[in-house]
Amino acid sequence: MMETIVIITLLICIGQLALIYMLARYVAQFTAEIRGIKGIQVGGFEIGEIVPLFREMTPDKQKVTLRELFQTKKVLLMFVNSSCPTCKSILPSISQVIAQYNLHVVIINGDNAGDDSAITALLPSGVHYLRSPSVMETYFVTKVPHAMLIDQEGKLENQASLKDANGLWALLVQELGKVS
Amino acid sequence: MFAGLAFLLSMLFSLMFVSTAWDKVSHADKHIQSIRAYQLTPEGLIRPLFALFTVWEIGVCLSLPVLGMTPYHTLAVCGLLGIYTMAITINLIRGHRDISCGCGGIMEGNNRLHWGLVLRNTLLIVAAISTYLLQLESVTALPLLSKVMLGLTSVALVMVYAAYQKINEVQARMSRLRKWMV
Repeated sequence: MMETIVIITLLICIGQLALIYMLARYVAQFTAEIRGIKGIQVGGFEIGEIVPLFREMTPDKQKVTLRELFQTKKVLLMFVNSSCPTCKSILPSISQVIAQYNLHVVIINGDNAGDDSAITALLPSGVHYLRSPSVMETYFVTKVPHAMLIDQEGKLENQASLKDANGLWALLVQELGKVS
Repeated sequence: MFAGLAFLLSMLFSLMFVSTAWDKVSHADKHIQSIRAYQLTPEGLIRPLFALFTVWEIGVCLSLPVLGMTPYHTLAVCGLLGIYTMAITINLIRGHRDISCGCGGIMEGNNRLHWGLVLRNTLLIVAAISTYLLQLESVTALPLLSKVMLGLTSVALVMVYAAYQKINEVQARMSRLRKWMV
């Protein structure tokens, strides 16, 4: 008799714990999906905040490690998408950016399934190209093109959502100064 | 007393591997990516290794409640945890912290490697050996009803841990959201 009562009590406990677990999981999933409050994008990085590190492979199997890059030079992270016409209009300026500023440039394509030949055709030599929705998600980028400048301590120096190449130049001039 | 404790610990190990193996089966791509991120195995070995670890875990979780912590189970549990711990340690020494531990199930924590994982796995290895030694010490066999009660107790304990982890996750997300709302 006693054993039966204990077993029933344990079953009730397990049921209650399962309910608590499911409720907590539901709330966790819900909070993870919140992207904005009153028009403010949630989860974006503030200037001066240390950005998450990543190690990804390029489509031609070259390893790109953010830490190794920013330890030698500042890093420009440029978030794009295969189907984004504005991104394609900005990418030809990247070769000038590399020529004028001492930077590592990492182009991150948030689309890893579609045809990216239009993007790769515009990439100058010397840039690192990744196809990684996970990096984009980690950096809370929801709109492309978006540029982030990372300093040599791995902190966010500046960032901007871009409408054209002028936006990219404005970001670089503001942070790195004008180069003739 | 020893027999009861040994059975409870065996059940806890079994449930731990049920949750990790289930996570590996249901999120295979994520776990293959985790193994790749450790950068310890050649590309061609990643999928066979993933399959081996998953089958290893399934084998342990299914046989532990039936056979108890035999010497083979002790070796299997310690070997598996030892391999995981070694992989984590090597990456921590290399300075690669920004990868998921790939532990899966209730053992999955935040998305970074830290020395706490090494400590946790070492304690689990000690617990597995202790379970085996406790089982050796036990002289009487447990009645079926006691096994049922201990089994349910271990399920309740695992559920408490899983709920605690989820609530912690919610708390971390809530505090981040609150920071943005102020």
